[in-house]
Amino acid sequence: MEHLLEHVELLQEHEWLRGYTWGIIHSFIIIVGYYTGFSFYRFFKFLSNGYVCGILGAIIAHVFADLLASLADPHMRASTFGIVTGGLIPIMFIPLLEKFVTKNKKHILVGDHEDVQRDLKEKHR
Amino acid sequence: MKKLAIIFFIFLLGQSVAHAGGAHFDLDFIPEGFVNTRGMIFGFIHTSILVIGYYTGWSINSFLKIISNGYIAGLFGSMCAHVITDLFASIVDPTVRPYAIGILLGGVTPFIFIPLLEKYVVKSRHHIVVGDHDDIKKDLAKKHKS
Repeated sequence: MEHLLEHVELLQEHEWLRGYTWGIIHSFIIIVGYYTGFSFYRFFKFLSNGYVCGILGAIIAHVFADLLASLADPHMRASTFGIVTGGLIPIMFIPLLEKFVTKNKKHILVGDHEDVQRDLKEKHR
Repeated sequence: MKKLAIIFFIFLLGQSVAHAGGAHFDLDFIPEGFVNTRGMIFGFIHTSILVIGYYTGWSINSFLKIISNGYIAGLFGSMCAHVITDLFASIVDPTVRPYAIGILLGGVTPFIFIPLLEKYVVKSRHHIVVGDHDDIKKDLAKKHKS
């Protein structure tokens, strides 16, 4: 990636464009997952025999996308460790939220078709 | 069987660490200064917004859908919401703040491919679904590649 970036003068000249590569990769991963079905989410779900799914799977996949994007962008590379650990912190609130919060009917759904169909059948506020 | 395999793997790992005396486990491949807290606030906010949206329904995606009368929805809406989340998180985190504009512009760039993909690609049945309940119901009713 760095080799590619060396040839893009625009990204080298303008300091305010730092983080551009991070943004592209991060957004592109969503598009690829949306159209093809090849996503980190499904990869982790497959790898864990379906245990890592739902919000936990979405967070882990999201953090993994952050990690990949941060490693690819030379400007963000120094922040990789912080971004990943910071991204993983909210996972510890999930058991509490799952126990005490009944999801709103308008909540955001994440996952593949199977997860989503399961969620639609669940109880909502 | 799976448990046995895991126990065996842990045993093997323990054995190799014991025999190597830590010689093969030096962390030279990690760049100097890699383990730091830069970007931690960014990561935390970035993920927390997802969790809040999942449990409460208060999300940037829903907000954009309401203010645009339902036009900004589906993949476009979730990507817009994602980019706003990135922007918000990067502005809040002082260590990532200098990269905020780059992150925003980079996040917006893949938008140009959406019309083309919508026109020429039939989504896989295993594709990732994003949005609120209404978006999802609409997506489930659509045609998908088997």
